[in-house]
Amino acid sequence: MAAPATQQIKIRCNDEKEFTVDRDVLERSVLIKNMLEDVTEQQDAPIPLPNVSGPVMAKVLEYCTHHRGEPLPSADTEQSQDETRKRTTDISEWDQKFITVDQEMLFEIILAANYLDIKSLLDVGCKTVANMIKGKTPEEIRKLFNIVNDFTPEEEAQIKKENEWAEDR
Amino acid sequence: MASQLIAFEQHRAFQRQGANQQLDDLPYDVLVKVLQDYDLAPHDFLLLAQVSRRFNSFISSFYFTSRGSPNPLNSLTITMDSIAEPSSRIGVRYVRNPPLHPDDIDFLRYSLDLIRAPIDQFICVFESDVLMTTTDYGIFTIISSHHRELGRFIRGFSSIRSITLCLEPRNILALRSASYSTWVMWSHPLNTLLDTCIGKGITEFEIWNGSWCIHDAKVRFAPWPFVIAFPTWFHKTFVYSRRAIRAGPGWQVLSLVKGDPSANWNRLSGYGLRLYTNTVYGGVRVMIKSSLTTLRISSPAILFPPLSKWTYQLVGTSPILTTLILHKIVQLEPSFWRVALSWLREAIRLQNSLKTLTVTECENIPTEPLLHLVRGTGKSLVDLTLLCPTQPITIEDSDLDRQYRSWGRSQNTFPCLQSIRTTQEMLYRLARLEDKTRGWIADEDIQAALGSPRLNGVVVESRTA
Repeated sequence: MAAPATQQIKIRCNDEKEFTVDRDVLERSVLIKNMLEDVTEQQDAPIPLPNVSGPVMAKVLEYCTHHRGEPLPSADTEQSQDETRKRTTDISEWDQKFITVDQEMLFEIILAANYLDIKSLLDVGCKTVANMIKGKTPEEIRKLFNIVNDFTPEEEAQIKKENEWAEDR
Repeated sequence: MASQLIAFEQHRAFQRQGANQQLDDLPYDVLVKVLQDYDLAPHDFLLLAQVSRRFNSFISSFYFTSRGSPNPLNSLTITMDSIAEPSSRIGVRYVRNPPLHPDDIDFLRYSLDLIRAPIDQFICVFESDVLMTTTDYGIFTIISSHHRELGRFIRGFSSIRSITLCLEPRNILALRSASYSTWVMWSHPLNTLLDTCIGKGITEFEIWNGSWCIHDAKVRFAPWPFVIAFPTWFHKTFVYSRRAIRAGPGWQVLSLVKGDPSANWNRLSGYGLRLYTNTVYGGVRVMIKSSLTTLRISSPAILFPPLSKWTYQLVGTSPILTTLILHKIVQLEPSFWRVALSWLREAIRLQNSLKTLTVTECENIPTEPLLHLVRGTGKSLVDLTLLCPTQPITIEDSDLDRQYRSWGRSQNTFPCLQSIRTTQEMLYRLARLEDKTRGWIADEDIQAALGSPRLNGVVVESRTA
C-alpha cells in the first residue's frame, strides 16, 4: 500500500517569496501548526508570514526539514526540557554548522524562530548568542555587536567602580 | 477564513526596527532567553550591563521579573541549602522558597546596585566546602582566605545594615583546637572585614556558628556526667564598686576550678559578635566609627581571638566608645587572657571615654591579669561588672566560711563540693549566704585586704537546666 501523500502547504513571506512545503515540516512551527489545525476547510491561498523574509524562511525551512519527524515538545515535557536546556550552551554539530551565519542572519533567524514559535531553533540561536557574549569585555561586546556606548563618562565611571570587585577576580 | 487570516497576520506581530538586525534590537523576551536561560556566568552579566543603558536597565529588570523581588520587609536571606546532609540544620536559614542558587548572590548584588534597593539585611551562610553548593560555584567559604571578595561584596550593597556570617562547622572545629598563631592568621581578614562593615555603615554585624549539632554533642558528651543530671544550675553575678578594685590579694585566694564549657550553652546556638552603632546607613567611615558607643562581643573562643585586636584598637582610638561588654567568651585558655587583658588595659588607658566594662560569663580568666586590668583602668572606668561563668553551684553547710571567703574571686567562686538538689534548698541557703557575705565583708581581715570596700550589690542568679 502506498504511503499517504503529504499535504503541501503554501506560505508567503514579506518579500512576496512563496514556498510550498510539506505540512509536517511546517508544523515544526507551533504558530503555523495551530493555524492549520484551526482551519478546517481546504484552502489554496498561501499563509502570509509578514515578519519573515524569503532568505530567512529558507534557512528556517532547512532547519525544520532536517529536524522533521522529531517529536515536538508537549506542554508536559517542555518544563523538564527547559530545565535541562538551562545551564548548558552545548549545540549539536549539525545545528552548529547550520547556525554559522553572519550576525544579521543569526538575529533574523532568532526573530523568525521567536515569531514562528519554533522552540528548538530559538534555543540554538540563543545559545549561539550566549556563547558569543561569554567572556567578553564590554568594549568587545560593543564592537562585536555594533552597539553604541550611550553612557555618559560619569555614568560609565560609576558603573566601573561598582563592578571593580568582579573585574579583578 | 479571511478573518482568521487577518487574525493570523496580527498574531504576535512585533515591530521591526530595520533591515539590519542587531543584538540591541532583539525584543525583550528574546533577550531574556539569551541572558537568562543559558547560564551565563554572573561575571558576564556584570560586564554586559556595562555595554549600554539598555542592557544596564534590562539586566536589573529581568532579574526581579524572573526571580522575585525582595520581600516586603526589605530583608533578604540568601540561602545555600545543604545537599550532603539534608537533615542537617547547619546554618541554614529558610526565608525564600525556593532558596537562591549560589550564583544568585552575584546576580542579587549586581541587581541591587542597579536599582538601589533598600536591602537592610544580608545573611550569608558559609557551609562546608564539601557541599556542592559551595565548591562547584566558587562561593567563598572561609573568611580567612576569601575576605577580599566578601568585602567587595559587602561594599557593593548600597543600603545593607545587617550582616550575619555563619561559619561552617569545619572551621569551628579547626579553630577550636588552633594555636594562638592560627588565631592571629584569622585576625587580619576578619578585622579587615569588620572595618569594611563599619565603614559601610553597617549597624549590626553578627558572626555565629550555626551548628546546633556541635552544641548538642558537647552537652551530650560533656566530660562531667553529673552536670547534666543536676536540675539546677547557677551562675553568679558580682557587681563591684570602683572602690573594690583596690582589693588586691584578697581576690587571689584559690586556684581556678575549670568548669565544663558546655554547661552554659544550654543547647543554644548563635553566640556571636554584634556591633551596634547609633547611626543609620551613610556617612564616611570615620564618622561611623566615631558613632560607635557600645561594643558588645559575645563569642565562643574561636571567634574572640581574631576579633580581639580589632576590639583593642577600637577601644583605644574611639573618642566616644563608652561601653564594652564581653559576654560568654568561653573555652579560651588562661594564656590567651593574660595577653588579651594586658592589651585591653592599655587600650582603655589610652582613651578616656570608656566608662563601663562588663565581663559576663566569660571563662578561664586568670585572676592576676584581671586585677591588673582593674587597677590599671580604675581611674577612668566608672562601672565594672564581672559576671562569673555558669557553674553548678554547690554549697556545703560545713564549708560556709570557705565559700564566703571565696566570694572575692573573679570567677568560679564556689568550690564544687556538693550539689544543690532543689531550688527551694538553694533559696534557703541563699538567705544564709547573704548574711554570711555581709559578715565576711565586715571581717577585719577582709577589711584589711580590701580597704573598706563599698559594694554596690551582690546578685546571685539562678538558672535551671
